[in-house]
Amino acid sequence: MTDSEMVVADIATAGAAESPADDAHDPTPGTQLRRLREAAGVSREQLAKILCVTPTVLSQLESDQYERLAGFTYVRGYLRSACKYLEADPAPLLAGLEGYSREEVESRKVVESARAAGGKSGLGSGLLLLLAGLLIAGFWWSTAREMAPPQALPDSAADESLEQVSAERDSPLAVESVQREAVLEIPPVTDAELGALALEPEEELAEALPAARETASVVAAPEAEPVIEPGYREQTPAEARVVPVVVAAPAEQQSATVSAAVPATGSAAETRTEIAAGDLQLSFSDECWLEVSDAQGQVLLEGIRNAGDSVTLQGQAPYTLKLGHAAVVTAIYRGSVVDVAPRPGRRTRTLTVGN
Amino acid sequence: MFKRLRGMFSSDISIDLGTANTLIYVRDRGIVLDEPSVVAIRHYNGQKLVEAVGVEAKRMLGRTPGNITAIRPLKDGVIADFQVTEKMLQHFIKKVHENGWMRPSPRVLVCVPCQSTEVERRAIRESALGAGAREVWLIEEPMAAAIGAGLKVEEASGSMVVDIGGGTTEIAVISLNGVVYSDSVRIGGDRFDEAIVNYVRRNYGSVIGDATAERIKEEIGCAYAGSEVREIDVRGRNLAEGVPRSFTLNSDEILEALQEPLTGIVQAVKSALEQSPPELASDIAERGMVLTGGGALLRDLDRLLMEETGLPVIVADDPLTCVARGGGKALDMMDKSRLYLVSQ
Repeated sequence: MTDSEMVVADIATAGAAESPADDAHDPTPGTQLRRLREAAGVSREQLAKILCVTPTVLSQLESDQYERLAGFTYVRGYLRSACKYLEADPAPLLAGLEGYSREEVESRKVVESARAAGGKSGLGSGLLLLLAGLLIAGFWWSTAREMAPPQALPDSAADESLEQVSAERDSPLAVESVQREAVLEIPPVTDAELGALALEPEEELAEALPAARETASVVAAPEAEPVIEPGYREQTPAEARVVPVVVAAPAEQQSATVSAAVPATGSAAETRTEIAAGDLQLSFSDECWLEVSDAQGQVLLEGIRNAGDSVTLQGQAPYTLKLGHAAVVTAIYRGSVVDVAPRPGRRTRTLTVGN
Repeated sequence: MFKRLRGMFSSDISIDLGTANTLIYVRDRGIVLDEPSVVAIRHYNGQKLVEAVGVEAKRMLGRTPGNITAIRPLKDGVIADFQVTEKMLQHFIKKVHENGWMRPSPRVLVCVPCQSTEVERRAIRESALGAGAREVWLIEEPMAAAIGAGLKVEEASGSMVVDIGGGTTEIAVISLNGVVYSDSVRIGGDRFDEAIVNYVRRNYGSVIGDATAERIKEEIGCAYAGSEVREIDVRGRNLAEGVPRSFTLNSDEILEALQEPLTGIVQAVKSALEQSPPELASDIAERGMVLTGGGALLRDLDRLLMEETGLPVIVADDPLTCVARGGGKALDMMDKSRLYLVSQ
């Protein structure tokens, strides 16, 4: 179909839209434009020439075939220009365009949104502020809780606690409270005692043993099973094992060599592994972070060790070692030195020993 | 961290930092600020204090005592006075967050002239950051204008936008979310005012201020002969007598006065059409070009361009706010999809 045929076809379509019924009721923008043009005595070709558009475009505009045009921004512009030339008010034509297509609605929304003005309610902002405050407080609390070092009871407090436990043990009415306190307070007490024990020579261990046995008897009592906090529930069996190890240590004549620098605040499990006679010895010439886990994935040791420290570990081989400063560590496994030197250009080393 | 927290209580905004007017579009609220880019500075004990900003400062233009200076910190679409621009932006950003409890720290999209240099863009970015913005994006003005006018910039077809602002006229051919060709001429509403002032001085021997020239332009200014002739009474200081005199100007005289800047714009548009790729030029010839910006409100400017180029010329809906609205829409689009039409 040639251009001229298309024009003719479009004009025919436009003519079809000019039915008297359409004109009488709710005239479309195209119909209104055609009426204005005819009232001004201007032909379609003349108006097209003035608007610098082709007669086809004007014909499509008058027959409301907007989808064939470039977009509603242009359609509104053409209608405005035509009305300006015909000295008519473009508002009714532009109003008539509403609802012709979703695109038109969206296009108008852009303009309307610009004119809309409204503010956020102060209440909404206030609630948001409150919520944000709560979130921050929660985050701070959880972070502070994680970061805080485990609190070791001072020696006097530990003694006091022990005395209280032993005093209350005899009272049948206070059995339950004794059980709970024993479970809750044993970890720091055990740490403190073990730390103190570690500092003393082996001969002096015997003197401290009765106290440890007494503690053990409280801890290992079957009635001590009901535990209040889940965190402590996990620790209870471990702590129940602690004292037998300590007690058994001299009996089995296994060398429980722990350096003087072992902190009293270390966890019970860590202390246990360090005291237990083992087959992996680690010594440090400088500060180094390390983590040692056994074949079952249980972490035997984790933390920072200082220059001069040495640790002996007992567990199920193979061990997995993660060393933060591998160059300062000397590892001996069952009497033979293990190469833990870092790779060239690296500082850390992860290796498995005892395969 | 506090900036980020403050940002939670600030709305994303789009700023059309124009030579004549600054418009701010706030997401979900529309255009909330439309004020002249004017700042009044008071000099006190060797210090510079901001006396007024926006409408209030514009009223002071040409009417200030010795210790107050009313200045326009932007010239030709770019920053002429960095510190004053920063203060002005700070004032406007605070004004649109009046309901907030704390100092705002919004994400800001600023429209920049397409021919602005890296140094000029950096100045705008740092000025916005200094005014409290958390993040700053830049978008070229014609692109924002096209989006604001409702053109389908993402399609593989050419659209031509002529954005006539206060300091510059930006002409761009846009296709596939990108600017294919752009040009910027330093002719805009200010040059129209200047031309009217010069015309009155030359022909009436009287001096009028910029504000009066702007009023004349808005009321009787036209760009094409043949339309209704309008008149306006003007009062200015007679240069020979030194006293204020009243005289009447008509729209034909203003048309004559505006010939030089209008010719500059027409030449720039013709040059853009000449340099457009043929396929895009064909699209533009079929659809026409879209006028945006305050200059598009000059009576019969579309008629002039139609006569000069032989192409359809349409004026966008609400041309003054097209750029700011387009920036706001670009902000929305940015969150939905990664856009290449903004730079950070």
